[in-house]
Amino acid sequence: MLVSTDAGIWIGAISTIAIWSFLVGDNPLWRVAESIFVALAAAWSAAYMWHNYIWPTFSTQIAVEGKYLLIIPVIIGLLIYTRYFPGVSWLARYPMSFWIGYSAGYILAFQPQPFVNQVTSSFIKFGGATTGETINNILLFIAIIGTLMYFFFTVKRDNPVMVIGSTFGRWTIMIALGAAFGSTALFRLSLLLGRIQYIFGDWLQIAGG
Amino acid sequence: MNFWDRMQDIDVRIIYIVIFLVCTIAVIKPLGLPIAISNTTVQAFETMDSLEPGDVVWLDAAYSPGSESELNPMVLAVAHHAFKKDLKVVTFALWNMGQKIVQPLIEDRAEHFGKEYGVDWVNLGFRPAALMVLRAMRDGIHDAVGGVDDFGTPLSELPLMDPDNPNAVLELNDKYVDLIVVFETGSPGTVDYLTYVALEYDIPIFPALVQVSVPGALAYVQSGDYSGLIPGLRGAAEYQILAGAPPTAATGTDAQSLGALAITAFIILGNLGYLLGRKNAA
Amino acid sequence: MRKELPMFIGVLAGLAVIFDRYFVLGRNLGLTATLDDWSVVMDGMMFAVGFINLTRLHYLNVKRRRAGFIYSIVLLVTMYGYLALALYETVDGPNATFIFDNVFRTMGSTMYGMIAFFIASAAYRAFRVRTREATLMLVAAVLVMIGKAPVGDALVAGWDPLAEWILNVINTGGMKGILLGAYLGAFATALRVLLGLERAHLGGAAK
Repeated sequence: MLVSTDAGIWIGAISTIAIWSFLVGDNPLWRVAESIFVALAAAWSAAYMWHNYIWPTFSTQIAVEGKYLLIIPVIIGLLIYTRYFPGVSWLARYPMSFWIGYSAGYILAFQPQPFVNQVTSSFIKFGGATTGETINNILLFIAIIGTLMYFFFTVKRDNPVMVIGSTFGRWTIMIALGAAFGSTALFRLSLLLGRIQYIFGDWLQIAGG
Repeated sequence: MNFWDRMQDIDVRIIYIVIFLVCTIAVIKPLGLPIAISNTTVQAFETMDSLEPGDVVWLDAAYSPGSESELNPMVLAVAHHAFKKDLKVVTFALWNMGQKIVQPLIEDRAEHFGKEYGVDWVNLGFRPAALMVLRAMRDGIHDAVGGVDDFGTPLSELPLMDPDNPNAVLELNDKYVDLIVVFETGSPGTVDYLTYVALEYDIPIFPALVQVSVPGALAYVQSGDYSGLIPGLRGAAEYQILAGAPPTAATGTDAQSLGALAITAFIILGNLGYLLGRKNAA
Repeated sequence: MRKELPMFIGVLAGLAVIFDRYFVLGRNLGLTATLDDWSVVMDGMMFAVGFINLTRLHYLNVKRRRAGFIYSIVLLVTMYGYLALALYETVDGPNATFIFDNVFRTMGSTMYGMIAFFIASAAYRAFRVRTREATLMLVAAVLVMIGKAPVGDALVAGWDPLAEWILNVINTGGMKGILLGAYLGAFATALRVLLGLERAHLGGAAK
């Protein structure tokens, strides 16, 4: 076993162990690591935006390329900071309202197409190349309809069709949630493995890495 | 507390230690379990494999450092495949650190195949309101990203993006882009590319997803909107096999297997305690 | 007018997008192209909001000597120190990159990966076969978790195809139903915003 002599890897290993210390319980090492993490996230994002976007907007697009109309969105965007001053905080509604209205427009303008694709692809041709495929197509269609029926809360469940349909829908949803949990567990395990490979591979150099 | 109650009440630190140990053992001593290739990965591979040299593939790094372990192997595999087929690669990032994460990965594969930055591939980086920029790029990449790549180099100095070059990539639409691949943790991600670009211009698209997003994304595979899908770490290992890329993901799948078995064992233990405890009480 | 005028501007912006999308005249006017560029600049100007929020919160913690104020000092010193460094040499500078790669990225990955432990303990404590539905969920979870890891097929031949079947047939059916509902919910909410019925973002109750 040859421990790494790279300072960066040592710092990374200590950072990893500091975060993992939370598993033992809340402790000062974890709290310090958490504070550093949040601080770096905020500072990195602000610095990146300043250098890669804010400064070039003023120094190049407005000052050199003469796109003076961009001053209007600059001023509207800066209004968001009025929220910190009680007397004029109502001005922050302008950029927020623009954003929400604009996003709502985009939803109604563009999302109908994928929605319609989902609807049309739900009308599945039952007959498949094999018996298995036919059964799968029928099951898939019933699963879709059952799930939709489960969410019809405004319809009375006093007839057998609704009762059977929504029950099957509930089972379908439970199976889907179970599949989602299984997938989530695998996802988190793979993230954990990345760190274990780092500790035992890059730092302690026991594993292949 | 009787035995069955104790079986339902194991100290969580024991669970943590067991999970850590089984994963560590598999990392130090890989099992070499065979990996069967799933249909969705084959579909994704064949979609990219059907492209011709010189075609343009648009990669998006819609993820943060938290998901690197699962998505980085996919980036390596897809970049390896793209450069092996002499495709041109343009990279953008819907998430604000994605471009920094994928840069060294794509660079590594580019160097391996002797590809040159600016000629064979470009990293456009991240921009604020990335979704708006995505939409604006449909009509012109140059103005939408402020005329520079992620390093501040004017796009006019990069042959792949230079308007004076007849083969340059100038817009995010079917005239210039032949395939979109999104490395995704969540939203914004592939669905946004699908909604605003792929469906609009009929460009093939597939996501390289973290495993947690796979169940939801399969609906889009079933509808034909996605031309395949790379599912999680195992999907990365599968794609690496298909593309002949360095097998960096295989060790992880072995450890994932043991971790999954350990979690299942604890679930069974807890339920045995519950059922037998109930039976005993009755 | 302090609520009505901003709401009117938001509605106009939304209608401009819809007009651009569905009418040739709208496309020819190019309103959305201009508004897209403007919204990018607007979003860029908001870059310091998170930064200012953190400063205010933790400054107050330190000023009032609340419990754990030492960690607030650590946060503020780190945040402003790294900001100064990154502004001076840019985020691509050697020292800024060193800290980003070896501290931030490792901590981020570790935090995300730590949840694996919590998932294991939560599954152990909460997954009980109390009802038919809970049993279905548990069985599906185990079948997919083991099946989609390579060990599934190694243990029992055919486990992977079974997991694939669960994902591609039952799960996809359920997810499509949920997705259709989600799309309809998004349309309804967007319509409410453009009709002025949704006012939460203006500091008012919805109608």
